[in-house]
Amino acid sequence: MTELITFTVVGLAIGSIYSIASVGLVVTYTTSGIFNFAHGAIGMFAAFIYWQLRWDSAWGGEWPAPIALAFVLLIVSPSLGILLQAIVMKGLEGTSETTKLVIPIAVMLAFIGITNWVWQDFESRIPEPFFGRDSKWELGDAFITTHQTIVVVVAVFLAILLKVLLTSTRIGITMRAVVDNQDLVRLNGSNPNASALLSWIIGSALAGLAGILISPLLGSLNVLALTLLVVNAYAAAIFGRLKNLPLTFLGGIAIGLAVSYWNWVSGTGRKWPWLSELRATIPVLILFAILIVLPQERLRGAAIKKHREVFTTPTMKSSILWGIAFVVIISGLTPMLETKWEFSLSKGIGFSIIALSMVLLTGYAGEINLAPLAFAGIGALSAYQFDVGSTVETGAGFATLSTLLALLFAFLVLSAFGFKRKKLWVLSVSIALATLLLVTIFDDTTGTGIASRESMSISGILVATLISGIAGALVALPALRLRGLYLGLATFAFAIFVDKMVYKQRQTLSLDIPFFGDGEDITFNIFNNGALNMPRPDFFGINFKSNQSAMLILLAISFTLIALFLIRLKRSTYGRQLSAMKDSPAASATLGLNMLRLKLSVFTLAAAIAGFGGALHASNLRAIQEDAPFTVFEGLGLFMLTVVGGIGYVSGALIGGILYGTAFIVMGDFWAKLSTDWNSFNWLFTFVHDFFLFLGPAVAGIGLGRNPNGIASQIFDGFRVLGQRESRRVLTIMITIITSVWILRVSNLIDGWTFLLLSLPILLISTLIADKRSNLEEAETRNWELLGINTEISMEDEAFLDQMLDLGSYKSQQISKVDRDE
Amino acid sequence: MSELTLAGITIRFGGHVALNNVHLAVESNSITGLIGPNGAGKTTLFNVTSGLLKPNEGTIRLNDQVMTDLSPYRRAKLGLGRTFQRLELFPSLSVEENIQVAAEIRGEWFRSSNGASSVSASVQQVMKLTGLNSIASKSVAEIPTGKARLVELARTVVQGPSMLLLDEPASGQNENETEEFAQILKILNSEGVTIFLVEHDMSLVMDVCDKVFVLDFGTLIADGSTEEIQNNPVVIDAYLGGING
Repeated sequence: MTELITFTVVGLAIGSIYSIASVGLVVTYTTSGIFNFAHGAIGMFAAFIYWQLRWDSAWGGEWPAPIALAFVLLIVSPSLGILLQAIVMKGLEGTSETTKLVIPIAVMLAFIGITNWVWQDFESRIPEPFFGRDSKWELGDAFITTHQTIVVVVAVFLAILLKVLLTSTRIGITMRAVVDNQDLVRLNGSNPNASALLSWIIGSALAGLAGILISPLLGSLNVLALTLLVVNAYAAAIFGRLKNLPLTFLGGIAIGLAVSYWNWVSGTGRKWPWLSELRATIPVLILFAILIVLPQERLRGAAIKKHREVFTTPTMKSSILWGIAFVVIISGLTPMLETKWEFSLSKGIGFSIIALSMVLLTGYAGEINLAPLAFAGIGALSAYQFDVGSTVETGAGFATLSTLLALLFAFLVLSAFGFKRKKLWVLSVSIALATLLLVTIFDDTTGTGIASRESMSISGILVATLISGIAGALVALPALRLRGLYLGLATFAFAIFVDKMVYKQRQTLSLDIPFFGDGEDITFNIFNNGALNMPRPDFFGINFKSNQSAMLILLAISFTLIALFLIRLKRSTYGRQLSAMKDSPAASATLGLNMLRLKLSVFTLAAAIAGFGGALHASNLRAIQEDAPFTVFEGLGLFMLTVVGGIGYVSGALIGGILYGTAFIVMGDFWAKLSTDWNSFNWLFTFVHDFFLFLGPAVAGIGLGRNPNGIASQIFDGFRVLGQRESRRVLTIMITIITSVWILRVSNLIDGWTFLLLSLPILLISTLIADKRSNLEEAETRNWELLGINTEISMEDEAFLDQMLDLGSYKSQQISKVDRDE
Repeated sequence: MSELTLAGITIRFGGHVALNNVHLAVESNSITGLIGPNGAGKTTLFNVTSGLLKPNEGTIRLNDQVMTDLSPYRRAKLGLGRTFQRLELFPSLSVEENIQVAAEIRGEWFRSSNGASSVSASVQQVMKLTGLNSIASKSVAEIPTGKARLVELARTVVQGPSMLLLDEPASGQNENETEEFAQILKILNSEGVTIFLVEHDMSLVMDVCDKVFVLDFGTLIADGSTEEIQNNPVVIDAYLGGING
């Protein structure tokens, strides 16, 4: 009985905090239509500030609790809300689902970056509960702390207050009306911006409160743990279907209780050690389950908004030329670059290969996947376990497994390519047999087992690809009905699951495959000691171990081949079907497209690409850890920067990967070098260095994540414009500067890396300037009042007017267009 | 013989009854109209028929096949095609590709020996019929609504449906375009396609339809030939009453 009361009270207290956080999330979502990924990060930030004011010995500290609370909750958090709404979130209405996800993710990464920057040292920061650790009262034999009591009372009070605000006050009703129709609210004389602002103020304050309340329960402050706590709030918010506050509140409490009771039942992991991490994943599992059980919005015309992301596909010929050029440039760079820089660049290209999986899945098919690196991680782990790590004792088991995986994989993917019955069977079986041959003969993996190899083999990479692909199918299978935000959240939940349950797994598991070998055939120790040493490949007679240049070129060639495959795919029947599914699910369904089969296949294929990239990337890095490089946060960062690069283009993946894996680190390094060279400006260069390292990706995301087409297309457009007559001046200036930099390089005044660092941005910036100038000229010549009087009305004009008048129903296009014009 | 039969279709959205026990039959090889004031439930009826919505009660038959529980894509395979009131084109594809993708989907239903060539032949044929040849390579985001309606029609016609549901195809078209559209509908009908048409443009309805159903507040209030409907006092009242609130 005592235990029941204790665990119930703990569950209620934690649940109340989840409720507070999730209610805040729902308030911002219902009034602004934006699912605030940064919600947890705001709470985390508030908890750090509160700690600083109350307990830090160096600055602040010793503030009385009420004053510190009032300062954080009434001044800091609301100001953050105002800043976010006024500067970042305001322009997001009517933009694409992807943009609406990317910007809050960027904000989240910004908060994490700022906090890591400000509170850099590894000091342990331990917040105290209200009225201290000893303040408690008795209920039966159980003790209840004052902190727990306060948490529950505050949560109930806030819930009632919000309910009254949203249903019985004028501003509250306006807030709810804004979600339904901004224009109507405006016509009725209310200001939608004011109510959106208020909702962000309330949301941020609630996030801050949740952060402060929960931090004493977690021990010392931890940036990522606090940020991730909000995932529990996601589950509650989805339980309330993102609009129902009472249900959301109950959902939070229920999740808190579920976690607490699980701790009780499982004896905090003592009875089933393998499941010890499960308590941390319960909310994620609940989130996944709720998403799947929740009735989905039906497919209908107006519900799925169209947006102005129209990705053009390059021709095959020009793609091949660009691809060759890319490999040649990379190969040509290798003699110029030190090994250290080669390694940096190869890291970026490794990420680019993984980012290609998002081009296929999100760019081409419109399915959002926030777990790209989870699939990459699964790939790397599989390569390790099945190739180099001697997991499988018998070669026969390994060969069987690879063959079956290949058969399943071929079936899943090929059936959506229009192959049926006999053809499908023949092809799939051939692929499976080819796999068998490769594994047994070519790579010689039968016999006593693979044992510990010293290098990565082709079979290892192949099995990594297959296993990730099948994992993709397994995740996609329950999530097939989900789209947009909901799919994003489901994949996000999967990424956290992999983080907690796979990367943190230390137990040894044994499995017996029937009919093969004797005893236990497979012995898993997924993540021994939290780090795995990944060997480099050793094939085609090239030893990649000592040769970083060869590794870099191998990565570049792999990227190019997959990229060309994707472009070819885009131009095929399969690619057109992906476009159709992305553009209009309703029309695709009524035209008889089997979207479930198509989705399953594209998920499998994309996850396989991620797995392939993950195995190769890990092998290039030589080691992977539980907290790098395949965690959920890194996945979000890569997703965000791929959108910045242009998620509809393979070149966008290249830019995204290099930005993520190379650019910011190299830039940080550059400034760090400057700060040691010019000591008197040390403070400035250190600041810039820290800025790039901590905030670079987030700032790029916030600044550039809005352009649905990404910078890749702008750059390519820019190259085209640069070739035109009008841009002669820009071209001349560009060539002059680059030539001067080159002269500096030739006369050895600067090194090769500085040359690149100076000339590449100039090249890119001039294309952007040229593009901008040509757009401006075009805009100036358009005079709509005189249309039809001094010019003929072209078909494009008519189409544009139709869209502006909503004759054809491209409503959200119209909104986003008007937004931009404002 | 009836091509499409709806029997006792009822659908509720919460407390609102969008369609109330609707019985109707569209005769094979006819052009049948469905009219009614805004909010009468016309598009809902199309959504139920094409499978985007499940009815709470009632059965739907195409020819003699019950398809109430079939998914939209299976209904398409049975020969049911539709267009949308709010355009549902594929803006990332060109005009020709919009039609091509539909033809390719059809090609996957049946095993045809000459896949690619029959796809391209049928696409060319439909583009000729609808007169879209001149703008084949344009992006559908860049064409006016009148043309976009034609693309939607062509996209479903290329699949060779026996039954076509057209949801307000004339909205956004100018008079000439509507006249040409009517001609295309007559050609299709003469080739054996049954057409079921929701339309506000009465001149189009009166021009092409053999028979008209009238829907008001989710209930079927009248049916008959175009002349009968024009003079039906209940129908006149529904339209005028609709205006007065």
